[in-house]
Amino acid sequence: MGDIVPGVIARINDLVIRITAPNPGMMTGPGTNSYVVGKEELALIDPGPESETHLSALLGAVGKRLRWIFCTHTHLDHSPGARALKAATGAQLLGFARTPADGRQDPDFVPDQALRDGDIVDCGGFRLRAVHTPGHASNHLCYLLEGQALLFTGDHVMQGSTVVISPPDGDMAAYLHSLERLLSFELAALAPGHGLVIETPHEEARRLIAHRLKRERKVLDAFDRRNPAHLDELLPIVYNDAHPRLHPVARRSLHAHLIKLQREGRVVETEGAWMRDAGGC
Amino acid sequence: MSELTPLPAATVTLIRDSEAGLEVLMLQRNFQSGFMPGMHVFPGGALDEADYSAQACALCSGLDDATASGILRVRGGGLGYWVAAVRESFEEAGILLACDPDGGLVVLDEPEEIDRFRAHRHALNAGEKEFIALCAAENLRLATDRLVYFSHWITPQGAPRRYDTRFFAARAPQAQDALHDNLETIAHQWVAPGAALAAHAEGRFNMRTPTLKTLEMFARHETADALLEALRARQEVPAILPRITRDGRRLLPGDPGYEEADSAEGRGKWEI
Ligand SMILES: [Zn+2]
Repeated sequence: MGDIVPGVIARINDLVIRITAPNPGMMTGPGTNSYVVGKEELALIDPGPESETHLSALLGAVGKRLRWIFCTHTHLDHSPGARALKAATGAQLLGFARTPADGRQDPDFVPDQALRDGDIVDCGGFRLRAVHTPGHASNHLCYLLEGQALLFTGDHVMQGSTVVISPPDGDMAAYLHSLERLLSFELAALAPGHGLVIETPHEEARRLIAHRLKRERKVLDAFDRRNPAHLDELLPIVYNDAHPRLHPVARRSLHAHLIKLQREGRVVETEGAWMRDAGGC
Repeated sequence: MSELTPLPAATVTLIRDSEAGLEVLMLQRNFQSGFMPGMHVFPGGALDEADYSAQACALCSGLDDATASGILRVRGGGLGYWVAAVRESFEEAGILLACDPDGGLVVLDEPEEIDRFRAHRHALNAGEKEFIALCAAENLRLATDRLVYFSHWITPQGAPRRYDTRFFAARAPQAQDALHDNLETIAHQWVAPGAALAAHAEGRFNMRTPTLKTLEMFARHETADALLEALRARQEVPAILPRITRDGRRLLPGDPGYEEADSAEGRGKWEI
C-alpha cells in the first residue's frame, strides 16, 4: 500500500474504500480519512472537515446511495463535513449523544440517532457496532465492521503519529483503558482516521499502551530532577526525545499524564506546582 | 513518503581572473540529463568508490583523510570528496588540478601533452580508463591542497535523487582551456558571477538555489585571490537543507515557514 493522496479512492477490501480529505498537516498526517462501506446502500465513516473539494470527492463516490453518516467524534477535522453531505444526500447522522464543550468541537453536531457502547446498526448488507473509546475525546466511538473484524478507529489509534490527549475532555486513564479494550475484540485490521490501514491490531494496541506507560515512567522520573515542578519545567525533561516544535502539543498530553497520576494519588498539585508524593512511586 | 538517503557528491567551482574581473566556469547540462536538465551548473557529481581508495589518498598532495574528514566533520572518507572534485573537474570541465613531482601545477601547454590528455579525458568519459590509475601512470599528484572547501548543500526530501554535496573552489590552472574540443556534450562557459545572476534574473539562465547562492557569494569579490581568501576564512560551514513546502516553494534555513515545511513532524509523522 503506497502513499495517501487526498481525493483519490483507495480500495481497502471488497466492501470498503478510503477517500482522504485535502487537510494534511502536523496534526492530521496525510489528511482525515473518510471511509465508505457497502455495495448498494452505503455508510460513510467520518465525513471530515468542511471542505468543498472533499464534499465533491465524497459525493462522486457515494452518489445517491448514502444512507448513514457515522462520526467517530466531533473534532473539527472529523465531523463538520456531515452537514453539507447530509443536505446533499438525505443520509441519517449517527454518533455519540453528548458533544463535550471544550472549545475544540464541532458545535453543530446533533445526531439523528445517538449511539451508545455496544449499539449495532444494521445497514442491510453489513452491520456496524459502536465501541465507546473515550480518551482522545470523551465522545469517541470506534466502529466495528462485523464479519470482517475491521475496526474504524477514528482518532483512538492513528497511523504515523500518536494521538494527543488534551484535558479536560482528553483523559489519559480512559485512553489507556480504551486501548486495553481493543484487546478484547477479535480484530483483523484497524482503519485509522489518519494514515494507512494497520494490519496488526493487537500488537499496535499493546505497543501504544507500552509507549504511554513508558512516558508516564518518564514523568515520574522527571521529579528526580525537580520536585516540585511546573508543567513547563517538566516538559523538556519528559519530552527530550521530541522535536521542540512538538512541545506545545506534548504539553497537553503531559498534563493528561499528570492528571492521571494525581487521581492515583502519586502526584499532587498546588497552584500550578506539581509534586511527586514523598512516599515515592 | 519515501525518504531517500542523499548520496555523497562534490561540486567544484573553478575560478580565474580575466580582464572583466573574476570569472567562474559553468556548464549547461544536457536537456536529456536526468538530474537538473538544461540547468547551468558547476562541474561535479557523486563520489565513486575509487575516490575513497587508498591509492587515491596516496596521490593527494598536502592533505590526508584524517584532516579532510575533520574539515568536513565526517568520521572518515572525507578525502574522497576532494578526489571527486579533482576528478569531476577533469572529466566534466577538462581542467586538471594536478601537480608534477616538483609540486608545480600542471599547465598542459605543449601540443603533444594537450593531445594526450584530451585522449585521456575521452577515455575516462567513455569508461575505458580510471582517473586515479591515469594520474599514477602520468606521475601526477592530485592538487588537493589547492581546493578550498566552502559550502555544504543537501537535496531536499521528496526530490527524485538526493545528494549530500560538498562545494570546493579552486583557481583554474592557466591555459587549460585548450583541452576542450568539439566532442564536448556539455556547453562550457566562463562567466562573471554578476553577469550570470543578471541573466538569471531575466529568466535566461536557469539555475538551482545552491548555484545561485554560490554566485551571490562570489559576486561580492573582485578577484580570485580575494574570493579564495574569504572562503578560507569561513570557520563554520553549516549543512544547508532546503525544504519544499506543500505548495511547491523551496525554502532555505531562516526563510519564514522553513521550520514547519517538509519536516517529518510537519507531515504528521511523530510519536510523543
Ligand atoms: Zn480528534
